Amino acid sequence: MKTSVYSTTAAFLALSLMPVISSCERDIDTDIPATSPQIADVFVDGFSSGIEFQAWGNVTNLSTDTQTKYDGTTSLRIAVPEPGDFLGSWAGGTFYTSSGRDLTQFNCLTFYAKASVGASIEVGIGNYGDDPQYAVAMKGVKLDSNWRKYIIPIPNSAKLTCEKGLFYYAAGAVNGAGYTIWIDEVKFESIGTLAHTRIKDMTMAGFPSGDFKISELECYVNLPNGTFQTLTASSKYFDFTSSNPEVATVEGNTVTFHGGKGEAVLTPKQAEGSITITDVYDYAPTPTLPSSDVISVFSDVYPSVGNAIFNNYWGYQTTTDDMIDAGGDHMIHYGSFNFVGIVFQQDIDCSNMNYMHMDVLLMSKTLTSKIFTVTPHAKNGSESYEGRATLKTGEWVSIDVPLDPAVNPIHELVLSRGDGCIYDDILVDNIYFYKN
Amino acid sequence: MKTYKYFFIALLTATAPIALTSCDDDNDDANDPWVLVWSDEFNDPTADNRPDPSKWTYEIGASGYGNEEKQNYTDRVENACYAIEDNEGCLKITALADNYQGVRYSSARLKTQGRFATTYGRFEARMKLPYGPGMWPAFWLLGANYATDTWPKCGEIDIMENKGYQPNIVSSAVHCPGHSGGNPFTSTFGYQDQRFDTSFHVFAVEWDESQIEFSVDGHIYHTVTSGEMSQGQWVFDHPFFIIINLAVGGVFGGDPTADTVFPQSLYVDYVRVYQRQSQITSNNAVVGSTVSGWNNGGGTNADMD
Repeated sequence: MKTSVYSTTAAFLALSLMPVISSCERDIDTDIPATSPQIADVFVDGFSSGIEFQAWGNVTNLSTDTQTKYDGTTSLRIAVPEPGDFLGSWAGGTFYTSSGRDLTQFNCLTFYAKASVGASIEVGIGNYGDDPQYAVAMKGVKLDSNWRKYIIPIPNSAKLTCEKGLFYYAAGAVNGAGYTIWIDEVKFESIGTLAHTRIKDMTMAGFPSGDFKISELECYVNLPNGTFQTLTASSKYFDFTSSNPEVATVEGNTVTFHGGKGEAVLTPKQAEGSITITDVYDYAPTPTLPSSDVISVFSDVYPSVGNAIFNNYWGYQTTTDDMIDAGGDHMIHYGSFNFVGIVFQQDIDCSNMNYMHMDVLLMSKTLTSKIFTVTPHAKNGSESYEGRATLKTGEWVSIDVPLDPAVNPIHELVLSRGDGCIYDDILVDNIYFYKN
Repeated sequence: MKTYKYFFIALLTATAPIALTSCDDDNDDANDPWVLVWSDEFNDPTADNRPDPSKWTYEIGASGYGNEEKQNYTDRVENACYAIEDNEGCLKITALADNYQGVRYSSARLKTQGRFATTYGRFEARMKLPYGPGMWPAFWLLGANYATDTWPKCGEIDIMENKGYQPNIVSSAVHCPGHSGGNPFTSTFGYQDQRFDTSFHVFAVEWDESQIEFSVDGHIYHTVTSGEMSQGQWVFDHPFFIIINLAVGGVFGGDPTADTVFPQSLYVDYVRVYQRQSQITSNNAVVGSTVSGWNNGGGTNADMD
């Protein structure tokens, strides 16, 4: 069996040499732009040539260790501080090169690591500078007292022709106490047993015009053990095609809407999975009340007060939230909606107001029950009058509900499906209190 | 039987050159070359896009097959059909998490029982495997006498099995009296830097009266000989038929997890059976009536005629 593997490797090596040999026979083409160096090592027994380190959190957290190492002479030693450490409450840092590297021939960064206690840390690549283009984050990486090899897959390394951010880590205290992490043999590799890069299937709302940024995607790469590694990666790693370019197209990490109506499926060329624009919706009606009659919580027209948290993640709720910026028109998207609390970090005095307003759009086309409720609460739990509306698929429905003067100041709004059990996507805009 | 005889002669004439080139790398004998005696190339889809009923039948049901398998084997086109994969015409066996007939997973198990069986030869299939925990693709041979000489006395030759959580490792096994179930003659083959679910690979066995030899992509990695078996254990001198299936879950590689992506497909570019020229010509047919076609499917066989 060993013979088989080695003979294959040898054959592969022989094959892979061929293009190199033949390419050496070609004339020098002066039109080829200067390229970045293709270097694999980041830290093996020392910093690789051209590598610099920028500390995050506790600035003295990184040192080297010649006693505890996985291989060779030296490892990286990270002292994760106690939360109260005056030099910084956590440990992190990025290894970068100011000139950039060509990483297109690799498909992952690998390293060995262990920790003095069981810990969960974040690692990744592409995180350097104020505006990283190709960041990949691997969160919840579990370390224990044994050396283990970790693989950070690169979703599509063809994009990394000149990457400066080569490796980063971030770690916080465990049970209020500091501890030590060792990292060794940090290098880029091309591993033939990584496969099936996939993005998380997503749905999103479409709009008549404007640009919509996809900031980052959850994606997955199948590891040599057949399980998927979950990553958070920049959408710029992928080139998307649109099933309906009249509705929307994608360039870089920006979805541009072109006025067409209907569904569009955005599919990455370099991965499985897709993003579905379920339909194209109008913007919510623009509020017309004078500012002097309004206390706004969320709107593009009025200044916001209350410092609201738009999803307080209560128990038993399935609701997810994200903020949509559709060409400057902001709205809240709630996914898997059963109920959600919008909680004001500063209670809002509504003694001069007598109504609450909210615009809601239901994205689903299939629901039979479309009852939606919203109820303002005071901090002591007392409830104002319930606003109740029947939502319409693809249309904005305005809800205006009288305020109970006895319930003031207002601490939170509770949004809920009337039937309490069916989950779906809704958009919410223009949340404010007013007098009339 | 008559039909097969003529079919054979036609095949001999048509396929000899292919046979010579195809087996160059593996134990070839210029004086007694391999000759293709049966194959399905899956290049010409049938009218209903389902496997050719003159070559394949289905195992049907959700009995667990003694291995706590979790799938319901069906004869639906959703679970077995023609498809193009990597520009190759293929048989595509698909495992779905579709709750068909109240069973969480459905899949397919195709066999040549009642269509083709033979004694000895080279059996090979070019396949691209599914992936993920709970996937259990298999390419294997079962003694056609299993109804009278019950397993393991009928013999079983597993040419390729894979645990979905080991995408770069496959195994082979020989089951016989004294070496069956969890204790067969078995061995694994692994690539250090490539997987079996991202491209096609050739899985083969060469079987004669004294040994059974397994290979992957021409690399021989496991040989079981009659000499290493005790009295009565070598039960490999009678016809065997071919089975290709994609099981979901079970004792071999465990059940699917939240990580397992459905659907998953096993792609089969071709299945070919070769025999030595001498075995075919010495009796002006096949030695010991090793090639058989008959119609008593039996068991849970679902004829497609």
